[in-house]
Amino acid sequence: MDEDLDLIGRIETGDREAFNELVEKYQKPLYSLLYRMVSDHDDASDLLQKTFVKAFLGLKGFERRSSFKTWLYQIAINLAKNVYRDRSRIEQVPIDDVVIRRDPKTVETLIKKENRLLLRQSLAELPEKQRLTLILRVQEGRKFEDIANIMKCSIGTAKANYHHAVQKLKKIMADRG
Amino acid sequence: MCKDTGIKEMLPAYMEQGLDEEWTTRVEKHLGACADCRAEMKLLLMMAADQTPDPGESFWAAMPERIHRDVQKMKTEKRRFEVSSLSDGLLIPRWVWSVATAGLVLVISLLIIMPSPKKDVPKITPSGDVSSYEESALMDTPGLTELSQTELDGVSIWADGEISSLSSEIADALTSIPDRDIHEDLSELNHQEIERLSKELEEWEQEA
Repeated sequence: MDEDLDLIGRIETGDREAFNELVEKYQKPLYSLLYRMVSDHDDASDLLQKTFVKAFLGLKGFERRSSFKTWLYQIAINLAKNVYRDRSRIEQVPIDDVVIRRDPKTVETLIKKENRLLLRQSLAELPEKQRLTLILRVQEGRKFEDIANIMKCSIGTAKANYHHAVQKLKKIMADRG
Repeated sequence: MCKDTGIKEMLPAYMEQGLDEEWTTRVEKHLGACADCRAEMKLLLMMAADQTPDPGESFWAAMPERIHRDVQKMKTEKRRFEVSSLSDGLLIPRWVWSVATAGLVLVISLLIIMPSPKKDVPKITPSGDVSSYEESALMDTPGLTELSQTELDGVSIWADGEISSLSSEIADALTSIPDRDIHEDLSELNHQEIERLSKELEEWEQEA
């Protein structure tokens, strides 16, 4: 029997240890995904909590057709989409201002930070599906099959989204860099 | 720009060292010859290296408790909502309306099924008052067999009074007729009527 399903079965009987175990297993990768999506600790933390709460309250609705992890990622992504959409409306701050204000110690640090900020800003400009696909594939290391399940699309669509995302990201970074 | 999507799709897996030996060699050979894929690989490595900040152990340790508390709170609220919905459902007149409707239907049904009450036949009281008999007679006409001897006597007194008044009225009418010339009247008759009249007079004389 699947380890997650075993834990879920125990949680449904009121086993608190199983509850903690399941949260501890997924809280870090989920937080990482959410942080990459919303780029803010408070939002990511809030979304992480909401994702688990929604999942535990809706355990009866989990049909076990996909893995628990995929189902959890679906919930997290759907919750994060709203925050991400709100975030995208916020006015962007010029990169140079942010970098110099935060850490003006060394040129190397500046370049690294600038590259990172440039990357994040360029990622933020991608269409939502392409951006999510790229995050899941490159930063979360998920396979195309998993991405297709999470995004509720075909594997072909997931691969197409990935290709378009990479090409667009390269172009944006080249234009800005 | 490289069009080998098969290799491009393998780049993240190569980066994660998740390819078998054959594919690893194939990707490395391609990267050596393709500048576009090398640039893409650099970009992917940069993305992968972009770590998310770690909120610290205390954050992770507290998370299960925070989530559990929230879940319990939501469950309690949900239960409270269900109970209040149930009580609202009892107070709000759904069942009251049902009972009231059923009662109304029952009453209407009884009214339809029950026979209408019989009208009382007015009784003729032997008071001796003539007008009361007249009124009773107009309202209803019971058979004479239903009347008692006393009632029959009352009716008889009333009838005598009526007949005597009618007789006097007829007599008055007869006396009020003016005298007429009989020859004048006979002249208005035709031949057949005169013959018929004379015949009836003859028969009357014979009978007399």
